[in-house]
This record gives sequence, C-alpha cells and structure tokens, in this order.
Amino acid sequence: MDDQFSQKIKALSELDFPPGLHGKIMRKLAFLQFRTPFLVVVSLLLLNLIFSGWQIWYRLSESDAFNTFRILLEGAEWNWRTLGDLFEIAQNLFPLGLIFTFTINILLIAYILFVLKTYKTLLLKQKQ
Amino acid sequence: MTDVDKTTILQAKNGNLAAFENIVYRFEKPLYSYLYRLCGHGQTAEDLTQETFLKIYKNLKKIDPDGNFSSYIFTIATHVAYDFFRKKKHVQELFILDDPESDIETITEEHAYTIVEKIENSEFIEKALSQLKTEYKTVLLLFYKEDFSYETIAKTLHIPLNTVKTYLHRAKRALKEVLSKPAE
Repeated sequence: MDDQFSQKIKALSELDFPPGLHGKIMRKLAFLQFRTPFLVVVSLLLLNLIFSGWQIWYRLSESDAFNTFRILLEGAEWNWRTLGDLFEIAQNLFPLGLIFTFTINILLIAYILFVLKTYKTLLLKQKQ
Repeated sequence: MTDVDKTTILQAKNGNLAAFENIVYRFEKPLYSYLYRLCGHGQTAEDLTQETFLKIYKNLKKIDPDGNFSSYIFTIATHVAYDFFRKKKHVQELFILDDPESDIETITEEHAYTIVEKIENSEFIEKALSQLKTEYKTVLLLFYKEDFSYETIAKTLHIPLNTVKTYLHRAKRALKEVLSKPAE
C-alpha cells in the first residue's frame, strides 16, 4: 500500500495556476529592480529641496528683498518701462534660479508620489 | 524533476529579468500547487507564491548555480509558508492521531478495502492531504512529489534526520487513517 501512496502522491497533478498571477509576480520583480535607484533619486530630490529652500530663505532674509521690493512698488508709475525695470531689480533681489530649482523639485516629488500612489492602487486592485 | 539550466541561473544572477522570468515560468505552477496544498487557501497560496519568488530574486546572488536549484526553490517556499503559519498561528492541529503508539494495523479489512479504493482516486488523496498536520503534508509532498531526500528535508525544516523519517512514517499512517474513514 505504501507504494501506491507514493505513486499517487507523485502523480498528483499540478493545480490550475491563477490567471494574472504570473503578471503580478513579474510586476513586483520589475518594481523591485528599480526600487534602489528610485529611492536614491527621491533622496537626492529631497536633499536638494531642503538645501534650495534653506538657501532661498537665507538670501531673502539677508537682502531684505521683500521690503525693498515693496518700497519700489509703492512709488512706481505703471508702464512697460517700469515693469521691465522692476523685473531687472527683482532678478537681482531674488535668487530666481534657486526658486526655479525649488519649484521644479516640488513638482517632481509630487509627480513621483502620484505615480507611486497610482501604482499601489493598481496593485491593490489586482489583489482583490 | 527537470531543473533549470546553469546559464539561465547565471543570467538571472546578473540581473537579467527575462532569464528570471524563465525560472518563474518553470516553477510557478508546481510552487503554487505545493503552497496551496500546504495552506489550503487560494489567495494565501497566491500571496505566498509571490513572496517566494521575491525572496528568491532578492537572494539570487547567494545561489550556487551548480547546486540543486529545485530543492533551493522549494526550501525557500517552505520557509515562506512556515513563516506565514507562525505569524498567523495558522498551524492547524487537526484530528490526526499523533500518538506513535497508536497502531494503524488494527484497521479492519473493510476499512483496508476503502483505503485501496480511495487511493485510486486522486481527489480523495487531495482531500486527505488537506486534513493532515502541516509538518506531515510538508514531508509527504517534499519526499514523494518533489523527490527530496531525507537529508534535504531535514535541512529544509531544520529538524534531525530521524525526525524526518518519523514524520514520514506518521504522515503515511495518518493519511491511511483519514482515508479509512467512511466518505461523507
């Protein structure tokens, strides 16, 4: 009887493989592959965000840019030439490059979080 | 049991996802069947299958391409399943007699006939297997279905060699016991 047991257990057929499971496995593996570079990129972006934010704050408080600009605005006559002059002064007063970097950083992080949330939602839907 | 060729393993080790997908293709069905038979639940078996492949992928660097890849994969799967059972305290103590003194030979002739009849039907075997203790199911499936040696099972389950033999003996006895019960 033991032989019969062993033969029967050996002959047990494989069960039906759930449709979609292979795809789920491969998607998780693909995600795993770019997880490290993804974490590095997010860390760099966060570091850059903190650094540029701190730099903007430091430069603005150092140059008292908002007060100076407010004074300029109060006495200004509104025409195209004044606008051009104000823009030039603003370029000198405000660290526009840093502000641009800061904004791009925020947008990139928001986009990454959005992609991550969408991906997780997709994975959860597949699980249900 | 066909194993995966060395080149595929080496390619997968070098980060080739397509090569690893071949490994997934080769093992997904037997692995899912094994895990389903261990846990008896489709969704859990799916989750455990996914977890097993993720674990294998993460540990690819440690794999010896000259070793027995099949036994490595089933060892990981067993560990994943046992971790799950431990976490969920899922190890079911069913009605199987675990008393080494109890004697299966006292089965009546009528029961013996029922057993032989039921063995012929793989559905009965599946049902009977599902009612065994997890350790018994594991040794039976690894030994008979996956062709593991006593030594490999002992290593996989971290138990002494003699315990494997005892488990196997008791598992077969328990299976006979379940099969000898009249059908519901």
